[in-house]
Order: sequence, then structure tokens, then C-alpha cells
Amino acid sequence: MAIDFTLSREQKALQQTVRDFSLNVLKPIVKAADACPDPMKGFQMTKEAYKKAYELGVAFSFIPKQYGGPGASNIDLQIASEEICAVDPGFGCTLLVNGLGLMPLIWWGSEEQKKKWLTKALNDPRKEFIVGWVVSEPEGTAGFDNAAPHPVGIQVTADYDAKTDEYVINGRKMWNSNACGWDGKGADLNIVVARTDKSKGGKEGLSVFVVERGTPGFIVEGITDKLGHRLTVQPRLRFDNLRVPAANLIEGTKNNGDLAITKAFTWSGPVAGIAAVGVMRTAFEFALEWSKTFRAGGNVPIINHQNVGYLLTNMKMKIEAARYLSWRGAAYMDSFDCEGQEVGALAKIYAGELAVDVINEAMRLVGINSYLKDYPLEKCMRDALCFPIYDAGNMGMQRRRVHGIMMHDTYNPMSLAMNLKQTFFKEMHGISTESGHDVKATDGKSTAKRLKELSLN
Amino acid sequence: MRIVVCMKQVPDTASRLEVRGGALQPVRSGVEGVVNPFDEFALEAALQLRDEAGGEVILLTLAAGSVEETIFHGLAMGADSAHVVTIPENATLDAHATASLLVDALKTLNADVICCGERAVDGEAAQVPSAIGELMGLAVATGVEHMQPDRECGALAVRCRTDSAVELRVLSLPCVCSFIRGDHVPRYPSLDAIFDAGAKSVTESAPTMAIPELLLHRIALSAQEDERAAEKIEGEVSDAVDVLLARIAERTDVLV
Repeated sequence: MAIDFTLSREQKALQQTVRDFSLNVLKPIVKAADACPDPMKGFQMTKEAYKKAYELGVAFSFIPKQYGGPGASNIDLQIASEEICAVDPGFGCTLLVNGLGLMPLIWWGSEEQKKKWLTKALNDPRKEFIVGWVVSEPEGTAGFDNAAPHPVGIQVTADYDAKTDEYVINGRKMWNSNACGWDGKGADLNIVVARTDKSKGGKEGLSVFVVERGTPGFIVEGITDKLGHRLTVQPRLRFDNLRVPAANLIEGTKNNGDLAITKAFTWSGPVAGIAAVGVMRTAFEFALEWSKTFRAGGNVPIINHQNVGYLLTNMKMKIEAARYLSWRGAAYMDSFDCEGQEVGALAKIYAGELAVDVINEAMRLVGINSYLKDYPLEKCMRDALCFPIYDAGNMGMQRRRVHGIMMHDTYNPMSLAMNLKQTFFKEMHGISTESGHDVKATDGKSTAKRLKELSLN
Repeated sequence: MRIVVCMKQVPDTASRLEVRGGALQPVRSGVEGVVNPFDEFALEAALQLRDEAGGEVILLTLAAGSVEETIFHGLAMGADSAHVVTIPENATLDAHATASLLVDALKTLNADVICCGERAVDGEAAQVPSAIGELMGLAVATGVEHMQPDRECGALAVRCRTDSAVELRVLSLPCVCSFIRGDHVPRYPSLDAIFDAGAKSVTESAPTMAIPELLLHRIALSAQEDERAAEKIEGEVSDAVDVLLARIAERTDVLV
């Protein structure tokens, strides 16, 4: 059966395990950690739950079996992530970022690099190994495609020192989840994108490095304080002549850092999508329960009123649509070695933006009580407002990528529906943020020819 | 040490029992099957014993229909293999018949320790573990809340709880233990264990004996009126909480 939404017995067991973990281990700490005014302390309050997640194999579920990991598929990740994010998407983000960091190593690392660092990640007797994904910068990340003298996007530089066979990293980063580690001194591994060739634009000049904890020159300048997603942590970082051996450059990313950024944020797209579904699910279940019990001074629970029933219908419809688009993105990536730059973005954009909409509907349904800290909807909304703008923002990076893919001559609008591989080329990164650097637009004729070849017009 | 855990699939404990006009069996269709919670305690105890003393844990279940998810759950928790005894779908068993069929299979499994839940949450008879011991002539400990190997005697040390006492016992092997929750909080299956469970050995056989005649006949069955309908506890909040906790403790032996 080609299209089948039935969960396998393994997936059902996975769902149950992660649901039990989320309700019994994670949930009891969420309220206090969310309310903690110190964002670092709020993050640290999740450490015991993280250790349990590590023990269960949830923290590094995506590491393939051949490197000793559980080998969860992208669909498996969907099932697990929804359960966690229905309880708290911030904690889900902490786990997701382990993958954002290590997936580029899995895709582009040499065998030696993979064995070295994946083995470390999986065999921590403290059960607290954590990985930071260090891409974004205070000046933004989206326009990483321009060269000197006016490079935009990634400004952190990595200069090669031939005398010591090292790279020297300098500059500032921001929004790098997990990067400060549990004690504020650094994650066990930080996966850092830097400009290795200042004379080139982002498509030729970026590379990805592994920075181990304790490397001199790694400075945490502060911790950002956020509206929601308060259980996950993002420091402000500075690299001050931080030296890493040349062997720490993830082999296949040399001058291909742009592809690593894009593929990592493609991989995470459906996970962020299902995270939004998890939060919507919690909001919906609360609104449903409220509707069945609250009378608003009337004789019957408010679910008996047409308007309430129709609002609930709208919410449910959107949640289901977002869930299956996210699943579709994951299934596509399972088919094509985690490629799926179009559908990954579509799932992330759609589900994340629907979450704000659906939770708004839930709040309208419940009324002013939804604004109280006593009930879950205000937290759902605070958490949901992050979905459209984090994990490669929907405007700056996700739509931009889809735009670039659609402009390309090889674009086949039916590739998702027909499950055909859509190859991603560098020129698909999308339009530049500076004039004169736009991707070559299609001439229209070749697209018509291409569509004809595909018998689609 | 070979440890056999007897597991039973029961209707989901969260579901509502429904009996239709004069039937002697509750409605099963549409009710999800889950592992008897007491059997999960037994399995957890068995896994801990294996991890400490070495050996293997074998699941044993009687199946009148699909028990795939029950078996898979047990294997994902960490059991090494499973044996399923298939019986006719319309077979009616009492405790004696159930124990007889289990003993029929146990004869070939060479168990050192047979672990059972204290009772199944559907039948609530709590007779099968003792009946197995009786039929096999083995020592039986019921209401076990902790189990560990007694290496000096080559035996098994258990702590059992009765209504009024806590008792320490040493059992010669082979033996039968029936478990309450006690110290054995069932583990969550890890992802590794879940993904490996499908590759573990599951064998099937039919009984070598006829289904035993019933010694106990059910002559009527009706769903219990919900006499525990909502009750409002009056008074100061702090006093009301104490009353509420006492009520929960009275009625919940699985959850506390």
C-alpha cells in the first residue's frame, strides 16, 4: 500500500513511550520552568527530564543504527515530537537542535568524524550530552549569499592558519539554541557555520565546524530572554580567536556551508510543523473540554451553540491538515535521503502560521478566561508566536527557498504529489537581499518546455 | 536463570464495561486490549532479576485472538523472547483451566522463576498464580513487592505485603511469584528496545491437552451500577484534600 497512515507497532510503542515520558516526566516541571524569570535557570530546570529523554534514546533518536543510534526515521520523529510538543515545544526545540547540529555531520562528515563525535554523543555516562547549532547572527542569516566588500548574512569568519593547520574563528552569533550548554560554559559540541573565504559569497564561502566544549575563545556574552519557548535556551556568543583543528571542518561542507544550512533547516521543517500541531492539539483539547463544561451563565454547556461547534470544526480541520502535511514532508525525506527542500519549508510555514490562527480561535471560543495564566491557552499562544519566525523564519528563509526552487528551470510542480526526487541546486537558495545578485530567473520558454516534457500542460 | 512471565491481554482499563442483555461475556469489540497492569509489574521484576542475576526472560501468554501488541510491548520493555499458546477463539476458561494450560506450556519452558501479576484487572480472581504452583508442586509467594536473588541459598528472596503485615520469604527454585506494584515500577521502553523488539523470537504452539472442563460456571453477569458517582467533599480545602487522598488510597491499588 503506497499511501497508508497506519502506524506500525513500533511507531505505536514509540508514541506511547514518548507520551508517557511527556506526561509523567516533562509535564510536572513545565509550569515552573516556563514561569522562571531567569531564562538560563528555566532551561536548567529541564535537565532531569532531558537525562531521562537521553536514557530513552529520544535525545539522539535520529542517529543511524550504523553509528550506534536508534535510527529513527523522519516519520518516527514526527510521532515522537508531537507528543513532546503537546506538552512543551521549548523542550522539543532543545531535542530538535541536537539534530539540527548533528545531521550535517551525518550527511557530510567523514567516517572518522562521524565515528568520533556520534559515538561521544551516544555514550555519555552523565546522560546530558547536548549539541548547539550555531548559524544565526545578530545581523541575520537569510542573505548569506553575498561576497565582500559588503557580505551580508554570515559575518563570523574562520581563517586558515597554515602554520598550525587550524582555523581561527572570530565574530558574534545569536539565537543558537543549546550552545551555552547546561552550565553556561558551552554545549558538548557546537556546530558552527563560518565564512572560510571572505572573497566569496555565501554560496562558495561558508563551511561548518565542530567546536568542542572547553575550546578557548568561546565566550557566552549573555542569555536571551523570550516571550515563549522558555524551556529552551539561546545565548549570545562571541568567538575571540577561537582555534579549531582543520580536522574539525566537517569534510563535505567545505565551501558548501550554504547547503548544510538549507538541508538542516529542510530536515527540521516538518519537525517544527508537527511541533506546531502538538501545541494546536493542546489548545484544541482545552477548548473542547471547556465547551463541554462551561455554560457561560446559560442552561447548557456552550458546545450546544452553533458558533462554538463551527469554531471547533475550523480548528480541527486545520490541525489535521497541518499534521498530514508535516507527515508528508517527513515521508518524502525518508524516501530521498532527507532531501525535500520544498515540502520541508511548506510544512513548516503552513503549520507554524496555522498554530497562531488556531490558538487565536481557541482563545476567542473560551473568551477572556483564556487570557489568564491559570489556563493553558496564554502559554500556547506565547509558544506559537515563535513558530513562524524561528527555525529559519518563514519569510526570510523558508518562503525565500521555495521561491528560489519554483524559479528554477528544473522545478516540477507535481514532484511532491508524484513522489519524484527534486534535486536542490545552489542557485535555488532564492533571491538575494542585495540588488545585482539575483538568481538567474527562468526565461519562461524553458519552463514551458520542461512542463511539456513532463506532460503537465 | 530462566524467568517466565505470564502475561494477559485485558480490555483497556480506561474503557467502560458493557454487558448486553443476558450475555455472560462483556462486549469486547471496539475495546482496545492492553497488557494487564499487574503483569507489567511482574515483567519489570523479572527484568530487574535478569539484569542482576543473568539469564533470560520469556513471555508466556494464552491467545484466543491477536495478542501481537501485548507481546510486542513486553518485548519492547526488554523480554528476550515470547511463547504464545493459541487456544480456540470461543474457548471459555476459569482460573483452573487457565492455570492448567499455562502449566502445559511451562513444562517445556524449564523456568526457574515464574512471575505473574497478582491478578488480572478483568477477572479479578487472583487465583491463577497459586493454581500454577499447586499444579506444579512449587513454592508460591503472592503479593510480592520486591524480589532479589538469594545467592547464599541459591534461592529467591521476596518481600510480600498483606493487609496487615510485611513478610520476608525465601523460596526454593523453581517457584511462582505474583506481583503487586511495589518496587517494580514498569520502565518505559527505550527507542532502541522498541526498534529491536520485532527481531526477537516469538514461538507459537497449541496446547498438548484438551481445554479443561470448567469447574466454575458463570451464570449471570451485569455491569455494576456506578455507585461511586460524583461526591462533593465539603469543608475546608485542606481537610477536603485529606479526605480525597484517603478515598483514592482506599480504591486505587494499582496507581499508588
